[in-house]
Amino acid sequence: MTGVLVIALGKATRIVEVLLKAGKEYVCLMHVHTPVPEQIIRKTLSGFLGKINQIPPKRSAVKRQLRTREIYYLQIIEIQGQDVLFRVGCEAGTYIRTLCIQLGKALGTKAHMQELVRTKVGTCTDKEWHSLHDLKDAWEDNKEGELKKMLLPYERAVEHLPKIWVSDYAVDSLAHGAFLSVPGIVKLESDIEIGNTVAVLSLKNELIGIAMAKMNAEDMMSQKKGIATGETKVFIERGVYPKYKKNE
Amino acid sequence: MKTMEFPFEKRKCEILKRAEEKTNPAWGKAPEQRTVQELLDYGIIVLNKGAGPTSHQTVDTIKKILHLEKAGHSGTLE
Repeated sequence: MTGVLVIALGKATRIVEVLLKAGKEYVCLMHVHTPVPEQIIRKTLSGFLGKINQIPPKRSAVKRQLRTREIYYLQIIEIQGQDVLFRVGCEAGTYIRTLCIQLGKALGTKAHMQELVRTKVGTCTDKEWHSLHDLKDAWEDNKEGELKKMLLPYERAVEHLPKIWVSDYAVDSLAHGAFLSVPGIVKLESDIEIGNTVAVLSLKNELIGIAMAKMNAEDMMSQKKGIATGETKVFIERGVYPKYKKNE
Repeated sequence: MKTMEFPFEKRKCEILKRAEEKTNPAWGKAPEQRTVQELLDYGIIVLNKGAGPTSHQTVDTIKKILHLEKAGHSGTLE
């Protein structure tokens, strides 16, 4: 399999945990083992949206038990005889190899995944990818302009998450592991619900950390105090913002 | 044609302001202003991984090229 692989660098390395859970898009070439009328292929594939059940394949790292994953969209690009090229957007952890087997069954025959290219991880797409070769060249020739195009701020990796922005004075205590209490919030996205994984940002849009919302957006706006988010997975370095001393 | 969107792309939300506060330019730095050096610790690369090396090998190669001790990837492509 080939395609979009997002690499997190240095201190940003842990951000891959967020990307592992982000939605993915693939372009897949599926081969159907016996001839099936095009109309039937189109009809069957268009019905494969929403939640599906899958058992991870033998060669996988996870427990082989039935689990549910969501197909967000599935669009046929081209059908040539028994070869079907399609684009699929799905929840993290969806096995496309298994999906092809399932599609084959639904078509009343068998099918297998012939080729797979990943075209999206979260908001990172094949429209902005670079090859290892280009990276090596840009680095070795010290092409700063090129490098600045290839090395993106790691905040891109949380672009798909709901966000909360906090006051400059809340940053350092968050960086030390404090929970976010409501008075530290400056702005927030209106659809945040309890249990959501949120990105906590500074007013300069720097990523402070990732946390789970303990309140919904409405309460974060209206409450005068209380814990807005739980334990923060901290990314910002301590000391970048000053410690806030009350009554200074 | 139905739009091909992830759930987060379909969100209808607005930004609610709880306080009028400004940020002090003396502290921190907007991500888009990071230098290449700074991005080596707070950056990501969207790579087009080819058929040859594994995801793990690709990370190792990048660490060698950029002289990094640490790097990680977004999920195996094997």
